[in-house]
Amino acid sequence: MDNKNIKNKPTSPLTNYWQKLGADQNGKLPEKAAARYKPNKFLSTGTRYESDKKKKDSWLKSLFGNKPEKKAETVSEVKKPKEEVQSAREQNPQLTKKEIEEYLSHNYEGRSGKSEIISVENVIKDFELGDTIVNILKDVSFKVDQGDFVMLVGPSGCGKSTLLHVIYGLEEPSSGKVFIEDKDIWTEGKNWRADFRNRYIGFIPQQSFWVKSFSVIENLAIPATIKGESFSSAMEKAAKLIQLVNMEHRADNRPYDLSGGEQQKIAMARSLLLNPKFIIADEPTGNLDQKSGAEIMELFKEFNERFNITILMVTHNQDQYKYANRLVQMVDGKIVKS
Amino acid sequence: MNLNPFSKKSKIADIPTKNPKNGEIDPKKTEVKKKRAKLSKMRLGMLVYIGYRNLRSSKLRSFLTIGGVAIGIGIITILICLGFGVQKLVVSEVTKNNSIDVVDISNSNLENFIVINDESIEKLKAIPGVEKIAALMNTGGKVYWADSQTDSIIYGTNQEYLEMANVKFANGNAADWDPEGSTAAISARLAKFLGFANPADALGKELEFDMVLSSDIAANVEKDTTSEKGKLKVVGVIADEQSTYLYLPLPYLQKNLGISGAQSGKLKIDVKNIGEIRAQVEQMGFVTESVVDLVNDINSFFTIIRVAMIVLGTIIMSISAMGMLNTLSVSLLQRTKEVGILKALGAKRKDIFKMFVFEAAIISFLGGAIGFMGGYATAYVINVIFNLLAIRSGHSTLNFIFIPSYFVVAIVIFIFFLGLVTGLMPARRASRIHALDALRYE
Repeated sequence: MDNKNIKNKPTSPLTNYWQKLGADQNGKLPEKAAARYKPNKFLSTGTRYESDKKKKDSWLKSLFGNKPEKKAETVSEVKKPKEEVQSAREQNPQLTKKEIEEYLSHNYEGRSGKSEIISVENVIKDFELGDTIVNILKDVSFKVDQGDFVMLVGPSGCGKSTLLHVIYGLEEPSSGKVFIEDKDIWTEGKNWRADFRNRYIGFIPQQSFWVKSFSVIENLAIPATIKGESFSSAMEKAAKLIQLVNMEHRADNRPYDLSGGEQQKIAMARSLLLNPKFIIADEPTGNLDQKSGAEIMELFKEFNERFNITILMVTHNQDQYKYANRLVQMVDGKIVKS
Repeated sequence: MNLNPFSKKSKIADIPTKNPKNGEIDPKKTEVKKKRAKLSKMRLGMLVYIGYRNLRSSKLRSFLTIGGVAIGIGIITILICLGFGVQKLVVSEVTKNNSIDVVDISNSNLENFIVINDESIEKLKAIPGVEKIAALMNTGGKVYWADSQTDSIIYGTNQEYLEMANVKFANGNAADWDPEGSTAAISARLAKFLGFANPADALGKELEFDMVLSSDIAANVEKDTTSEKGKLKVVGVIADEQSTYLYLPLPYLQKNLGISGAQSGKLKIDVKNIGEIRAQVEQMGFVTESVVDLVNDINSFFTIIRVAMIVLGTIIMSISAMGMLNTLSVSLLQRTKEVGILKALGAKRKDIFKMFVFEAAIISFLGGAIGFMGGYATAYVINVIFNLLAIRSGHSTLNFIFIPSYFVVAIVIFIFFLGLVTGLMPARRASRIHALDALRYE
């Protein structure tokens, strides 16, 4: 029993929680508390996020491995494989190192951190309200590059959320095109878009909604199960992600028992589960106090900077502008500053 | 070409779709099929798991709904168990001494009086489908033993008749009943009347008898007379405490007392042609009776009972189904936002549809299984209690519960359709909700 206590003891993010359970300095729990503490089986067998730096790095790589770790501003900054450089040198011995770099750069056009990931072209969205037609989006065009942290700002009712829904594939535009990489998503069918939302976009709504009958960790695993993965494989992924947002002590709780901030952290983890191309967040801190909001924004920043995850976020809070590397301002259905 | 429907989707998608009109490959449909095959699908197990978790999360509601279905199915099972069981019991009691391939014939048609004699036996044998024939002569008489004497019915017949009538010797051996000799099988009541405290004691005893001879059974007799006393040896006792009779071999009576005809008999026939055979026999002037008539009457009576049960069961099940439908509809309203978030996260219409159908299937399956087993167990307990009471009051036990295998199949199909039908409407509604509308739902 004693050994099991130590083995199952969560590491640093849980220190306070662990101490609340009555653990001594060595992390040993009293017998009664140990009997009560039953860690989720997926958490107790998975690799711990905080425990080992090497493990952590390889683990993060396995989660977000297909994205460049550091943003490259220009084509020449993109790191090329050694073998490719060596072979180019052998074939062109007359060229200098710099010339070879430039020569290889032609092969890497479009692969730099500046490649476009979202492109909205002349999108118009009208709603019919009784006999009147309300024009919400008025010829909106803008682009988001890979690795950008874009904040969509503007007054209430200017069409920010509608634009997000159009990009997310939930609200069909009256006219215009939405390209994700080179695919116009509104030329495809409903099922394709559902699949696309599931696999390629992380979504964080203003207010998180959950499957009530599922625990927190099961809710987190939902996108993977929708994708068709087995329950256990989805739960293994979810166990990793829940540690990433330091919420493993809440794994077996009901989602609506969590505070607003905690729920948003879980929603963030859920959005990252399938390693999306980008994340769409619709005022994720709108219902949170300043402290919880700041925590969430720090997490966004961390994901954006460390894992180069593209984020498109709607916010009203001017204090949060500092986290973004680009602001897109909307007024009355138009983009006024991009 | 891989035609196994359980192999990987991509393999099936590789099979080109043909236009049913001209049989040519339709490139557009093939492309759509390939695209669909590439789309992800939620696993069946996961859909069932969601349904199960949802039922578990609202335990009281699930308990009441499943209970409603279980009570409905249970009552139907009890009614069917008892209905079929009692029917089977009655039919088996009726056919116990009369096999369905045996037809009784008699000359009780007063307008055209006919006796079963050698000539008519030959004619009856000639009817296609008649396998065996045995005549039964009966008349009144007296039996004497020591100082006792009693009136008795005297039957004259042969071994085949006893077999067809399923007459069993409680004491003695049927093989000792010599058709040429003066051997007799007597009923237990006759033995008692003759003074044997234990009917088995009559076995081997030599009795005396005389019998009334009439022109019906003896051609050479003009007026009813009583025969001279003859002797008979008891070789068998029949366990019948109700009637006083004895069986004597007909050949012996024909030889020694001039018996030439019998009033009734039994035909063993090919039961498939029973209608035709009976018609031909009746054309000869005989009256026929078959246990099939009685079984048909019993069956038609129980058919009426069963129809009443079906009506009652349908009413009960309709109430259960409405309860189930109500539960699923309320569940859908409560889970509208869940549907919204699932759709927003990429769940397809089909996934949501299946999710609700599976939930209905779980309810109906659990309700059905519990109801069926509970109903059968209740019927069984009723039977046991009835038998205990019967034993206490000195009667023999009876098994009156029975479920025909086709009813089990029918109930499985019924449960399947119940789940499907009650699940379809809410599932269809849920799958059609737009994700954004669902998320905005209050």
